[in-house]
Amino acid sequence: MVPSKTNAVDMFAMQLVFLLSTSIIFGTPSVVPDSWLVGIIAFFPACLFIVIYGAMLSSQKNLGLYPLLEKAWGKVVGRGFVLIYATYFLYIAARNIRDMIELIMSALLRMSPVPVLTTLFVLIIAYATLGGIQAIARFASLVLCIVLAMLFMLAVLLMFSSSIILEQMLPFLSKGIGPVVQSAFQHSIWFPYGEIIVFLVFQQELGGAKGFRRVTLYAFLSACFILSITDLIQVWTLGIEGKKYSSFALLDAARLINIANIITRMDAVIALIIIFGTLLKCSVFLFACAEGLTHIFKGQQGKYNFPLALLAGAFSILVTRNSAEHMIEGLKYVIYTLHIPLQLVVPLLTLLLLRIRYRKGEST
Amino acid sequence: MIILGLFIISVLGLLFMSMLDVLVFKQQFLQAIVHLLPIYPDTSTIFIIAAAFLMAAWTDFDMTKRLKKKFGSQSNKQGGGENGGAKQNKRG
Amino acid sequence: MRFMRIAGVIMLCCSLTIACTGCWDQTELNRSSLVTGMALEPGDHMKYKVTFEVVNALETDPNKGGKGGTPTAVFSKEGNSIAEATQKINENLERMILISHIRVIIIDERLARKGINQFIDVLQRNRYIREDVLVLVGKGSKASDFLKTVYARGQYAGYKIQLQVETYRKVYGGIPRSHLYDVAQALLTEGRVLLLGAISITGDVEKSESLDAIKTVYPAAVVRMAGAAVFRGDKLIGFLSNEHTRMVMLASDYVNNTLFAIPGPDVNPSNPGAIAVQFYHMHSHMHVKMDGNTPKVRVVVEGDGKITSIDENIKLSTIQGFEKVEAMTRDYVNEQMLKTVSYVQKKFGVDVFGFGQHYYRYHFRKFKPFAQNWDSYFVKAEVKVDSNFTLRRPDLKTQKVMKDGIGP
Repeated sequence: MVPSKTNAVDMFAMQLVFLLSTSIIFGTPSVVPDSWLVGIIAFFPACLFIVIYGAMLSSQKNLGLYPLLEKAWGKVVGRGFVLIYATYFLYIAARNIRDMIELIMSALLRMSPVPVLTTLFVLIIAYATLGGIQAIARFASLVLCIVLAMLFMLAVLLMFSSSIILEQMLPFLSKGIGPVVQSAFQHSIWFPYGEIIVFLVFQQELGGAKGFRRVTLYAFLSACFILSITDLIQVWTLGIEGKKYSSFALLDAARLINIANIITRMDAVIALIIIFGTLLKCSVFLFACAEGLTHIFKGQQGKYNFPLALLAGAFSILVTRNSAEHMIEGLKYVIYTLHIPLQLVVPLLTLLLLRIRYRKGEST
Repeated sequence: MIILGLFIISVLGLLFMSMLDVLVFKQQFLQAIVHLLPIYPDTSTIFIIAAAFLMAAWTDFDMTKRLKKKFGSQSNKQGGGENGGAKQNKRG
Repeated sequence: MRFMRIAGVIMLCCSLTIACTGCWDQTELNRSSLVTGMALEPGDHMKYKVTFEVVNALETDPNKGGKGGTPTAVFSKEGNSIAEATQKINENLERMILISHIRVIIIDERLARKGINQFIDVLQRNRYIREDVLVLVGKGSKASDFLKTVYARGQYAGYKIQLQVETYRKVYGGIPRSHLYDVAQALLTEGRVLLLGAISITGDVEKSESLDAIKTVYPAAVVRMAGAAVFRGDKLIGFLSNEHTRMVMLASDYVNNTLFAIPGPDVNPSNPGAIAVQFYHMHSHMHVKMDGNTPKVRVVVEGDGKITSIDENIKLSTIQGFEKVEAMTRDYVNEQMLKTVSYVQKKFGVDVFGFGQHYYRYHFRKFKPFAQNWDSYFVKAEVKVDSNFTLRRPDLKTQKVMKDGIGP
C-alpha cells in the first residue's frame, strides 16, 4: 500500500467521531452531580497524552506504534507488547460493540437474538476496514456531519418542546470540587481521551508527529466541547437527580421530545448516532489490531479483517454477563488493569527507553 | 499463518477477559475461564468463532485458488482462466 | 461470469432483506391493539387490579363510522404486581397490547394512600410508556370507572381525559402538571412534595357504561377535574381544590393563562359585581431566605393581560381606571395566594410550592442543615406576595355600555 498522507480535515473528523462515539452516551459516568464539569476538567490532563505520544513519534521519524515498541524493547519483548496491544484493541472493540448492542437491545429491538445482530454488525465493520485507514478517514467526515446534525437537531427539538430547564443544573458543585476532579482523573481521561493511542499505529499514513499534535489537540478541544454540551443537555432536561438513575441518559432526554404531539419519540436518532459512531470506532480498533497481527505474522494486509471482526463479535457477547458487570468492569477494573498501564505506563517507558537507546543524531 | 495469529489473539483475548472476571467476581481463575468459555449456556458464540477460524483457514490454504485450479478446466472456455467460481473476481 | 455476478448480487440482496428486517420484533397491526388508558387499583383477591382501555380501531374511524359498536373495550386483570397483571391481560383479550400510545394512567385513591413508590417503577422502567404520559389520581370513585365513562364525542375515555387535563391547564391552570417525569422529579429532588392531578366523576357511572348513555344531550356521568392530590413522601394525604391548586401552580410558575374574577368595588354592597381580568403571560419567581429557623419567602407574580368584563362601570379610557383595576387585581391575587399558603401550611404541612426546592437549588449549603425535615420549617414560613400586573387593553369597549345620561 502506498503510504499517502491523509487529509488533515479527514483525520480530524476521524479522531473527533472516535472520541465522541460511545462516550456521548456512556462517557461521563454520573458518579458526581456536576458531571458536565468532569469533561472540561479532564481535558487538561488529557493533553498530556498528546505530549507523550507526540514525543514518541518525533523521536523516531514518525514510525508507527508497533515498530516503535520493537525498536525500544528489542525483538522478543517488543513483539510481546505488540500482541498485548493488539489484544487490547480487540478487547476495546468488543466492549464498544457490546455498548451499542446493549443500547439497541433495550431501546429498539428486544427479541432479536444478540448473535445475529452482532454478526451482521461486525461484518459491516470488517467491510469498512477493507479499504485501509484512508477509507475510514473519508468515511469519518460523513459520519461526523451526521452525528453533529443529529445532536444539533436533538438540542433544537428539546428546546422547542420546552424540556430544557436551565434551573435543573443547580445546585452547582453541591459536593465540592474534589469529587469532580477525582472523577475526571479516574474515568474521563482514560476513556475516551486516552484511547487516542490507537492512532499511533497508523502514523505513517496519517502524517507524523507534527500533524498528530495539532489535529489531536483540535479533536480533543472539540470533543470536550461537544461532550460537555451533551452532558449539559442531559442535565437540563432530566435534572441532576434524574440523570443519575438513567441507564442511557441521552436516550431518556430524547424521549422527552414532544412538539405539539406530532414530533415525539426521537429515540431512533440517538440509536443512529451511536450506531454510526461505534461503526467508526470499532473499525479503527479492528484495523489497528489487524495491523498488529500483520506486523508479527507477516501476512498480507486485509486478510485478517473478517476473521478478526467475527472474533470481536464473539468476544462482545462473552465479555460480560450482564449490564451491571459491564458498567463496573468498564468504570473500574478496565481502567486500572488495562487503560492506565497501556495508555500511560508502557508509552512512558517506551519513550524513556527510546531516549536512552537512541540519543539524538545516532538514531538508526 | 493467519490461523495461528487468530488463535493466539483469541487465547490472549480470553485471558484478558478471564483476568477481568477474576477481579470483578473475585473468583478462582479456573472458575472464571470455565464460565467464560462459550460452551454453555449460549452456544452461538462458538459458531461465530468457528466461522472466524474457517475464514482464516480459507485464506490461509488459498482455497479460492485451489478451487479455481480444480474447476478451472470447466470454465476455461469463457476466457483465460480469470474467473473463479462463485467468488467474485476483482478484474471480472 | 456475468450471470454468476448477477446471481450473487441477487442472493446478497435476498439475504440482506431477510437479515435486516428484524423479524423477531415484528408485530402485526391487526394482531395487536392499542391501549389508551390504564387504571390501577387495589385488587379484590390479589394486590393490584389493572384495567386497560383497549381501542377497537374500526369503530373510532370518523369517516367510515364503524358498525355502531363501542369504540373501546375495558379489560381488568389482577396480579401481585402491575407487570404481572399486564402480561396476564391476554387471558381475556385475543390481541397483543401495545402500550406505547397510552394516554393516561389513573391511580386509585386507596392505592395512592398506601404509597405509589411500590409500583411506579414499572412505569418508569418501561421503554414503551412515554415520559410525558399523564399520571392522575382518581378521587372518590374506583379508578376503573374513569375509563368506563363514555362521552358523546364517541372518543375513548383516555384520550378525552388527557385532552381535558391539557386544555384545562392551558386555559385555567387548576390542575398541576403531572406527567410521569414530574413524578420522578418531585420524588427525587429536595424540598418539594409531589402534586398529582386529581379527577373525579359527577353523575352516575352505572348508566354511563352503556353506549345508550351518550345518546342523550346531558351526559349521565362526566369526568371532572378536581384539583390536586397532595402527597407526603409517596403517600397521598389529601386533595386541594381547583382554586387552591391554581394558586400553588401560579407560585411555582406553571400557569401561563388564567382568569381572575375580582369582586367589584363596593358601590352597591348587596350586589358588588365582578371584574374579570384575563392574563396571557404569567410568570412568577420566588426568593427564599432563612431568618433563624423561619423561612422568609417572597413570591413575585407578574402578568400581562386584558380586561374581559366589568359589572360596575369603571372608565377604561382613563389611566386611573386601569390603575384601579390593576390595584384591585394585585390585592386580590395577594390575598388569595396568602390564603392558599396558610391553608396548605395548616391542613397539610408539606411544601407543595417548592420553596424548599428553590432554596436547595440556589443556596445549597445553607439548605443542607434544614434538608432533613424541611416541611416542619415550611409550616412556619412567612410568605410575602408581590404581584405586579399590567393590563394592556380593554378588549373592544372602553367602558361598560350604558347610558351616560345627559347630566344636569
